Amino acid sequence: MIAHETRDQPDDSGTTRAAVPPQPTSERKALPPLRDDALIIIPVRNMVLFPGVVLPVSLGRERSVAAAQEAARNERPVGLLLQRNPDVAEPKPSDLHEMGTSAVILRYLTAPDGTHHVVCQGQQRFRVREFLDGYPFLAARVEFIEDRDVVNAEIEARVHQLKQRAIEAINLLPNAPSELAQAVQSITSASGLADLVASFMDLKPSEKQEVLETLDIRTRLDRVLWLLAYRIEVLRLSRDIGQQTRDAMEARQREYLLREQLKAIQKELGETDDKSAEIADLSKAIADAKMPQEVEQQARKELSRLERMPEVAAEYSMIRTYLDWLIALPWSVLSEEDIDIAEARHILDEDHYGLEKIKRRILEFLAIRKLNPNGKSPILCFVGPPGVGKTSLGQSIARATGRKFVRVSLGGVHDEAEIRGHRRTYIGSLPGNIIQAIRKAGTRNPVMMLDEIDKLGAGGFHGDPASALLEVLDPEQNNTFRDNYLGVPFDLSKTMFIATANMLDTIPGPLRDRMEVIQLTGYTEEEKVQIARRYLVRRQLEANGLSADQCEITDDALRAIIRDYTREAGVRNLEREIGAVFRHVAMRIAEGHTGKTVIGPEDLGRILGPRRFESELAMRTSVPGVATGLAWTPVGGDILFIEATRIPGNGRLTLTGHLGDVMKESAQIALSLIKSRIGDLGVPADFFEKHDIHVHVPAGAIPKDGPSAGIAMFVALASLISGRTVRSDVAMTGEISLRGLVLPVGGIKEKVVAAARAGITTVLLPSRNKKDLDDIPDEVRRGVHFIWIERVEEAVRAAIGEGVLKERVEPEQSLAPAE
Amino acid sequence: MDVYETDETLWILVALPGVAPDHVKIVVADGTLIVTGDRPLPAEARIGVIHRVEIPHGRFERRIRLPAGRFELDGHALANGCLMLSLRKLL
Ligand SMILES: Nc1ncnc2c1ncn2[C@@H]1O[C@H](COP(=O)(O)OP(=O)(O)OP(=O)(O)O)[C@@H](O)[C@H]1O
Ligand SMILES: [Mg+2]
Repeated sequence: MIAHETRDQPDDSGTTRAAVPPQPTSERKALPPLRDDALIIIPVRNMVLFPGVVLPVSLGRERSVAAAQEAARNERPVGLLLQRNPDVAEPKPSDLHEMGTSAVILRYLTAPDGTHHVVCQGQQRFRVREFLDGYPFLAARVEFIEDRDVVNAEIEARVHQLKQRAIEAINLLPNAPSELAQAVQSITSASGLADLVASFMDLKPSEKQEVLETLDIRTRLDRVLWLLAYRIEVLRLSRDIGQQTRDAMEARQREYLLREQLKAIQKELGETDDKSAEIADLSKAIADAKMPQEVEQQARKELSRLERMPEVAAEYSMIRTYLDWLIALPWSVLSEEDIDIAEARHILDEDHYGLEKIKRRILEFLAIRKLNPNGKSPILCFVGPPGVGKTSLGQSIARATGRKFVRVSLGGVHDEAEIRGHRRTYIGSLPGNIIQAIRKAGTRNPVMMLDEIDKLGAGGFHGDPASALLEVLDPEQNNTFRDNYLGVPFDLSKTMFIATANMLDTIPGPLRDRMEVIQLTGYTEEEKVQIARRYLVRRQLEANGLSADQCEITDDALRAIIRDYTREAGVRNLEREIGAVFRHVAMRIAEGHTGKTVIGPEDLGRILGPRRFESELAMRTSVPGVATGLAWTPVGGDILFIEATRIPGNGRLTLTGHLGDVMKESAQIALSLIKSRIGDLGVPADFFEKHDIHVHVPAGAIPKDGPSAGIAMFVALASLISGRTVRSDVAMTGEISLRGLVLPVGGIKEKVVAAARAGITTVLLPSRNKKDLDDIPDEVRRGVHFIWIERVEEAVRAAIGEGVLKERVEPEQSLAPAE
Repeated sequence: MDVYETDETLWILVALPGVAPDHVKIVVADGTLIVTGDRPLPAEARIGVIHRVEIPHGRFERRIRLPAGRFELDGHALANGCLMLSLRKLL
């Protein structure tokens, strides 16, 4: 491709060069053949070879001579790797950088002094996978890295700039080869250009290595541009002023020089001609911006200051930035607002499932605006948990009203200036986030969503952000909103503000009074399935580049994700998990699987990992009266919740959840036992004369029969009556007798495994089941703490706590009267 | 490389020691003569150890601008390690 030689001869022999050149030994053994993805490696000290570049390499070390000869003989490429430390004489793999360039040997030659050299042409970047043993030189299995040239405007602009600057630098070089400028000019590949320029620049090897390792082409171009700009500066300064004066030169002078250069470069790039053209452009832009009179006057005043100022003045760029802001703001740009209520209804329905009441409220709001466009409408505030659609409703409203949508995040804003901007006298000051959002919207009447208004920081030292926000929202004042940076009023009265919050309580009172609150409470399981079916699945399929023909997810799987992998009021995690499932499918397709993939509930464990039950445990058992039991099922064990609640009545028991007869009896036994022990629970003796008990075992695919839930029922009742919650990490199984004994049950192994899977850390088991411990797999046994119980009191103590149920000294006395 | 000119002919002598005739290519285009070729490492180097390589090997390319006028390649001969080209002047 491009051949040239660098001025300073790279030389890997370093300091050992002057000594007697190494001579290859003459005995040659047959070597194990090298695979195609293996390279003979030559470590080098002070040079970095780039693809496409030709460089001579002096071979100072015996191993390098052997390596180069082996390659030359067999016409194999070599790989050059830079040593991390040039002083290491015999580098080991760990002394080398991992990325280098493969090269073909164009020539092998020996100099009259007997030293060996090769002329190499760089081919391709590679990364070392592993070094190979058994060769008299270094060899490694490598991964070649394709250089992918992207072409877009950003890259092209950089390529253009880099060419200009590289040629400038070449002209400054004292003895640059003449073809170099030619080569730079004619190269078409962006990565090739970056590599070539980096190669001829006088850079430290470590800097070149860094460029070599920068694979992203845009970043690489930027890096080389940056390095080159610095070089040019150095070259210029040393040429124009001489090295000594450079050190003495004052900072101002330097800046002046740099600015002159910058101008020269800009001129060369055709970016600007001169200052008067700039002023003329600005003047025209001010006229085009159709500012209100007061603002235009201010702009013209600043413009004439700019005109009188030398471009090198620090203030120049400040005024320039300010003018840019004034020009960019949409002083008189309005989206045409045309509210068609039927169409709005249609858009809201299209974007959101359900939310009937909320949509109706929004439509009312829009209808009122339509009737009275200049009236003072209230500010809507959507309040609800994360992921229920607050932000996306805002977007829908924008769409339905034909306005632009912009978002201002208020979370953590605790300085007035973040809303209203900093005075221009500060270095680096900018407008506040309201004006920034307006600029982004590009119109004066967008829908502006004030997100997380409940997380607005309390005003402190720098003024209260809430009061600044009040001014923004107040229809009496916001037609002349004054941002500190702009210093001129901006009319926000046509902007439609919508706020969102997770909680109402933390919104500052005066703000809350201005807003009309709309509550979003969250979705039921069935609603979530519908939302997923209609919106999330399609969106995630698309996001992962899948079509409905390639992948499908069943409703049952969606339900399983909702139940077992998410625990939220909204649908954000649901969407994320669906995304994770599709990513997995997309991967498989990329790996060559064909045909349609149907995801059912049974696939989820493999893709998303074990079900995340822990949060459910904590949530379910966060109220008194709920205990976690263990059930045996034909397909393994499972956990089940026993929920007990009390209602006014006279000691009757209601059982729900389709329980089998034996389980019903367990509940009866638990109740009788607890009645007999009412005195020991520290509640009034007439508790059961005033209350009925309702025990429910929530639905699930678990057969609900057998006596083993007895202890869990008893603990649930003890928890309910004592008002103390059951530990969420404890589960239990065991039959109970009327005398309070805990009797052994079956299926211990399955139950314990299920408990561990669900995140249970302590399992209460009947003492007489100890013999079953051996059946439990070791890794499960290690993660679970076992408590062996003989009596119900012990279970209560372990699952709820001390002092809930007084112990009976004599078990005989605990004999309870039958009901 | 040497160039001589007589009334009818342009003589060009290119030193190509050790280059096999079928490894040389000669092209005249746009008033420029281009000689390209390839001298691989000799077979001996491929089986043995290299102690010295001073005779250039690998790919090479020489270009010479021809004097004004039109020429036609008349003959070529590879002898004593030199390629002798004769270009007849077309009038
Ligand atoms: N009823 C719905 N129909 C369709 N998609 C919905 C519905 N509710 C929420 N979504 C989708 O769920 C995602 C999360 O919603 P959004 O970002 O609006 O949540 P949010 O309420 O603003 O949450 P946060 O308080 O965290 O900002 C969005 O992609 C949204 O489109
Ligand atoms: Mg949001």
